[in-house]
Amino acid sequence: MKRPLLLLLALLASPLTRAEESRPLLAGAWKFDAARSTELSPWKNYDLVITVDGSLVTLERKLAWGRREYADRMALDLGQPETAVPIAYWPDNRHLGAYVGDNQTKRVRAAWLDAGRILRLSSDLVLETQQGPRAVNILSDYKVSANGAQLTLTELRSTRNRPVVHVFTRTK
Amino acid sequence: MSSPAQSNLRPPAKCHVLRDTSRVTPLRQCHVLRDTFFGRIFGAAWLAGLAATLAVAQPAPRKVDRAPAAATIVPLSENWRLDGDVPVHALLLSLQGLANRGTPRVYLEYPKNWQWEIVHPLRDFLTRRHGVKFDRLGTDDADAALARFARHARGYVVWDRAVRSSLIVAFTISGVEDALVVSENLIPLAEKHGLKKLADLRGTFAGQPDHEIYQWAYDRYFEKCSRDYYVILGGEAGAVMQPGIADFGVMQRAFFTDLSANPKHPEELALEKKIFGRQNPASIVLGWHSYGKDTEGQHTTLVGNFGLKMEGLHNLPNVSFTCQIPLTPDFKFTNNHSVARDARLTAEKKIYVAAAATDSMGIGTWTKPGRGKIPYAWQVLMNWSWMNPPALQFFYEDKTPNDYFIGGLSGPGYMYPKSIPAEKFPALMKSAREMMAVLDLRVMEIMDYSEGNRHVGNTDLPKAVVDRYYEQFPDVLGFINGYGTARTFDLRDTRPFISYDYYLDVGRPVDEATADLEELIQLNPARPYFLLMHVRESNTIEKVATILNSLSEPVEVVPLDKFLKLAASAKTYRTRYQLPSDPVNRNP
Repeated sequence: MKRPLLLLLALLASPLTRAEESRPLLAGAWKFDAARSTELSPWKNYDLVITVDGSLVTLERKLAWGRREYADRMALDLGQPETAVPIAYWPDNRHLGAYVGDNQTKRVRAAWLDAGRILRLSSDLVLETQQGPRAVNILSDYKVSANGAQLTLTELRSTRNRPVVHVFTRTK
Repeated sequence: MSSPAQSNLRPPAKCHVLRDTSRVTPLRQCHVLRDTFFGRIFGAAWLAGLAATLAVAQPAPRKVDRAPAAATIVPLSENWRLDGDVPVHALLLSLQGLANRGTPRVYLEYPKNWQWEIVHPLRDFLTRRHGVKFDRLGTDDADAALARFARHARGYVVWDRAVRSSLIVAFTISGVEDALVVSENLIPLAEKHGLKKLADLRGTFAGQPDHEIYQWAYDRYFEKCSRDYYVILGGEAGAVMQPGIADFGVMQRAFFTDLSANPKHPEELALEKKIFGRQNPASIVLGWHSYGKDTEGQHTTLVGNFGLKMEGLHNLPNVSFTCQIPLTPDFKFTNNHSVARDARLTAEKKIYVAAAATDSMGIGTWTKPGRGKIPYAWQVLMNWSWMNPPALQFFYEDKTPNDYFIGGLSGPGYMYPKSIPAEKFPALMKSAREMMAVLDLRVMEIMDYSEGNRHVGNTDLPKAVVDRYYEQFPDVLGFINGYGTARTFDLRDTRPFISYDYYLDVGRPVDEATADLEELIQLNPARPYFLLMHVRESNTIEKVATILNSLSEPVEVVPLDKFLKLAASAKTYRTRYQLPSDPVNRNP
């Protein structure tokens, strides 16, 4: 009984390998479902494209309100313990007087969970407010439904009392 | 304490002793004045002073001694489609502009769902406070209206229902030729009332782009038009048009277009620039940009580049009527100051919140339930002090003790300070200062969307522009800045410069807005924390009060003047101006 148990433990201990080897569940283009999501204003649309290439995961998002658009791209190497991601702007909640800090960087730790069904990010960044810099941590879970058709992004910001939940449906 | 305003206002013009100013440019008027009276007395020194004055002056509409004892109301339907009731509405608007030239005679009663929602309350106010007894015609009853007022037109101009822009050109012709605006099917009605055809635009513009259409109008009519008022009859595009400001434009013989300020339309932009350049310095641009062509940011930036003043509401109704009516003799503008001008307050270690609404009083929530429940600041359209006095009197008399008025938007009209050439800034702001004194206003609100908006880019001011405000407004309690949030902060002597830290979106649910404010409180841990929130247009005050009552943190909601006094006492905010590295987006 020891060998199967060791094998199982080895598989659970290396979810990254599992995700690399199996179909990347999160990969694809995702369309925002406003009715099942936290209210998105000031944006109305949120398109998300996730690509997985070995240990590299890229998240591209486009936020839009009419002609006003903002797009960014985050490339993460899950083979590394942490990735420094340059950020020029903080579009997540434009109702708040909070802006990207002077270093314009966030440090992201990423991991696959549950055999590649969940991508969990822990992001540390500094936001500037009227009173100065403020360290913020954001836990982001990108979670695919059992049938692979729905993606739920749950974000817990250390400064926010409520979670932010964005639901997407797969377009391809 | 500054002394409150006098009751019968005049604009900051020096030529207002002349009566009917709508046909002659101020320069020409003042030459007449010089030749007949003042010229020999004051000579060259007077002319030098006059030249300086004209940099900011435009003639006010002529005022009657008192509101008319009787006037006619024509109710308008809710249909503003070009293939619906716009033809009869256009006829009535042009008739209103012509009939009201001598004295206020016609008041159009817009439907209750009209964006500027004060039409009905103002009608009742004019009766109650100004003694106007209204005689009511049937809805859209052009026949009855013409029976009373057709004599004020010399004839009619026919617009082409196949070419939307021809209606806008027809309003120009209406003003300069005293012509009723009719569509083909309304010709018999006009002729029934003895009017003859003066111009016919049918077929004239077939297949032409707008820049050619308006160039045609420019070549034929611009020289006859006002240099003090120019109308951009934009707003809704396509099948709908809501030309509520057209009566005033016709009355003033304004040139009308809906030209684009979008670089994607270079021919339109070139003509727009030519027109702006021909208008008198610091003159008025009425109306609003076309939703189908350019953006608010592009349009307002361009107006500012020429140092002109925008009164930006294309559907603002009945100004040809109200512009002539003086304030009642017993009225003076008084604000609800909660602190003395020279008071020194000390902030406690708590969270202070102030709320402001700036989307033009009358298109927000003034008439909705909840006003007066919490302290609230309202931005006043200051040019109404001379352009639309009864409307401002209505708001001032209707205020609750919790309603506090502030000046804006950025100056004497809606303008973006970064877009105004530095050499034009002092004269414009002098005009703003004078109106603030008249209107008993002590706070200046600033907004600048020339390099961004609440989504992208920045809405901040560089130090040089902040310096200009501090220099030009030595007597204000302080400045507030933004529309969405912004990050320009300062404190000089006792005058803080505070940007909005929160924007309450119309669609933002109470629980999310509550979480937003709580997050801001987390993000700003020092106390006192000064949280200034901008409340968008149709958010009700009840909603704002509910949000504030839902907070898990105790906050003190204070009037804006007290907020600024407190902010002057404890600078927990960092001085910041726009930086060269800040994102820029020119509102494409």
